[in-house]
Amino acid sequence: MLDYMGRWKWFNVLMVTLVPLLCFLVFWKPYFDPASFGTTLLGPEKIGDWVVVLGTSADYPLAHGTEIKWRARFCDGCYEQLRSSELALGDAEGPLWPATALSGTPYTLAASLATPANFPPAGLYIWLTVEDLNGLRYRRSWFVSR
Amino acid sequence: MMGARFRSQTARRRRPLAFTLHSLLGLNVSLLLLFVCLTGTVAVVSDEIEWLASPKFRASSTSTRVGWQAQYEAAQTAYPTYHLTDISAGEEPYMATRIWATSPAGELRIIYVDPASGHVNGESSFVTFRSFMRALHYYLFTPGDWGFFLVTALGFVLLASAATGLLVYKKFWRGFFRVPATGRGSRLFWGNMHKLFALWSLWFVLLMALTSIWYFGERIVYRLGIDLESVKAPVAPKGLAASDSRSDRYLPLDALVARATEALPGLDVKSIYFPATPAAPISINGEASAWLVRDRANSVALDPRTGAVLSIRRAERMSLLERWVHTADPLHFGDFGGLWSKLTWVFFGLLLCGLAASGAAVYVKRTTIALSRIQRSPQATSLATR
Repeated sequence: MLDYMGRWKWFNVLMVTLVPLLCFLVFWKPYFDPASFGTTLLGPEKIGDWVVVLGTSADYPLAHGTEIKWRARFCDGCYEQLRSSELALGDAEGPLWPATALSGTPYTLAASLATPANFPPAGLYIWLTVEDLNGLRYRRSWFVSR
Repeated sequence: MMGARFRSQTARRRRPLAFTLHSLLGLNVSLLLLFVCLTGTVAVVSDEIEWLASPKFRASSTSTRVGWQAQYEAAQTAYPTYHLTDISAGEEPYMATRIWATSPAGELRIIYVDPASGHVNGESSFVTFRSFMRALHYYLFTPGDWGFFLVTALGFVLLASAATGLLVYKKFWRGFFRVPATGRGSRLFWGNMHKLFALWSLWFVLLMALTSIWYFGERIVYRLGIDLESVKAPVAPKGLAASDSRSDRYLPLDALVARATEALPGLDVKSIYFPATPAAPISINGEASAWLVRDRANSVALDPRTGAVLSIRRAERMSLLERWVHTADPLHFGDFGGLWSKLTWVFFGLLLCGLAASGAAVYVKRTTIALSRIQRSPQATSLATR
């Protein structure tokens, strides 16, 4: 019946059947499902006047040179008291790589960071920096991988 | 002698390039084109289909409305743990207000509030019939941009099909009232139907083609980091430091809406986007005097704590390009004139589906007839007996 399309037949058939079906089941629907906070939790820890927990689903030890999504959850009503919040990777002394701002709602705050090709000798740390409404900055770090 | 006669017959039967292109373009992706046209047609009235399916999508009356603050409070009281992110009036007056929220589990939820009574009708996940149909039509649920580019690239196919079709159809302007021939074979009937559908839906085909091509180009521009929409001013750091930071210290929504309508007279508020971060303004959007622009074209950004107006965006003051950015959607979706314009879009959307289907039908009939002629011809018989 669809032979009139010649060699384009299977392209058409796949595009209107399998592609939407598979993409719906594999990508689209799961994207809107409740998000897992992560299998590894860091915190809760105090930062400034607030309390925060970080989480990731990445496997440990962290792989080199991969993009890892980190999620953050502040205490109730705390995120609204921050002008900005960002995550960066570094060593025990401070961030070494560019920071990424946390984005999302207070329940979905997240940032993706690329792990470096070579970890610092003393280990890799994740740094959270927050700035309050008066411009004061607070920092906190967690050891994440050697 | 035989060779010369054969050559003259072939020359007579040789199709012009436009015809070949028209067939190739339409046929090779006819099923995908039909699918995209059909899903788009359904997506136009997806709100109305939801309205028919469940009472939670309905407003109990179109004559009365409670304030925005009352609707916001009703939603927050019903779902105290949810974080509300924005609030949109129903697309039509008979539809419930939608309040977008995230649950503590990080799931995107929609709360439906009856705008007439202020009662919460219910909630749902983001995955509804409306979002399903729109995403299916828009990008086939694919991750990244390739599904989007595939769908919008059909705009080029539509445009080229329309242009080549007009070149092939001699004196097409005489065909608007030509009744399709019946009783002279299905190929001729479907051929006539194809031409009739094409003529009456030509304006719609061109509109869909051009807006799709626009979306294709707009996404490329966006991916290059160029934002064609004017940016809203953030809340000044001084203002932030001076004000109370807690979101429950925001001015009541009705007061903010009053400030917005004062700043932009004639603003009929359709949606309110709450600040995504403490430094972001609250954005109050809606219809004003400009015709054929989407709701967010007219917008007032305010400091939610002080009510100070940070920026005003009005469609009439936009550059031609930015105005077009906000006009493409109403033209493509057909939602600019309420239910009647949507139904008109559905009618012509179905004509477009008929165009894709009848084009394929004509080709199949023509091929079948040609094949049977070849099989019946004396040359074919002699070849078969050799």
